[in-house]
Amino acid sequence: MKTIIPQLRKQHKLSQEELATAVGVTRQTITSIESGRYTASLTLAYKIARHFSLSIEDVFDFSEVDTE
Amino acid sequence: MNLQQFKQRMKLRIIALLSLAGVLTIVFLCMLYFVTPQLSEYLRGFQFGAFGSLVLLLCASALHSCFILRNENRLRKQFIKETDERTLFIHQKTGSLGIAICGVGLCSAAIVANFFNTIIFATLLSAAGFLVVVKLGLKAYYQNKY
Repeated sequence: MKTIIPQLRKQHKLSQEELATAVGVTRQTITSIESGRYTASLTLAYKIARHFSLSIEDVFDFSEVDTE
Repeated sequence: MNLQQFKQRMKLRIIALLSLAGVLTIVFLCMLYFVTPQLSEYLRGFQFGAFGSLVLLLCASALHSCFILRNENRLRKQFIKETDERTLFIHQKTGSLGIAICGVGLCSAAIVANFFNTIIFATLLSAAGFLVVVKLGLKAYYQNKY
């Protein structure tokens, strides 16, 4: 699943490690989500979105799900 | 699970690890006294190495947990490491796939062993059967749970 987390991190000047600690996962998990290799759970997606004060749909691209 | 619950779990883990190490030491000492004198030098050496390493490993793990508990920062890092959803997902994947691969491997080995030795064939078949029972048992448990 595509995501705009890298752009959001840049905007907020956050490293992967900092975001990972803030949402309670490892840096590797953030790397995998950003590269699209791993799809975050609903809870994690919510935590990430809330961290940037956005909704889940704003952070994650659900267009692939819509076309299924 | 929150950090406080994790802290409690770590304390319980330390108690469990040390208890297990104690029980294993008692079993090992009993075996050393009652069973081992009848065994060959090779088997005695193997038993000593296996039990000794296991007890050492358990004690080292308990010590590591104590070390983590003393520092809030380390505890938080360990909490993240152990509750990370991707890591848990990988564990689940490797666990289920691992059992399946072991089952196929054991069945294949049993078929090959059947041509050479009946006892080995029966042993491998029993191990494969046990694996299937465990897999089905876990499947039934989790289907009821979720």
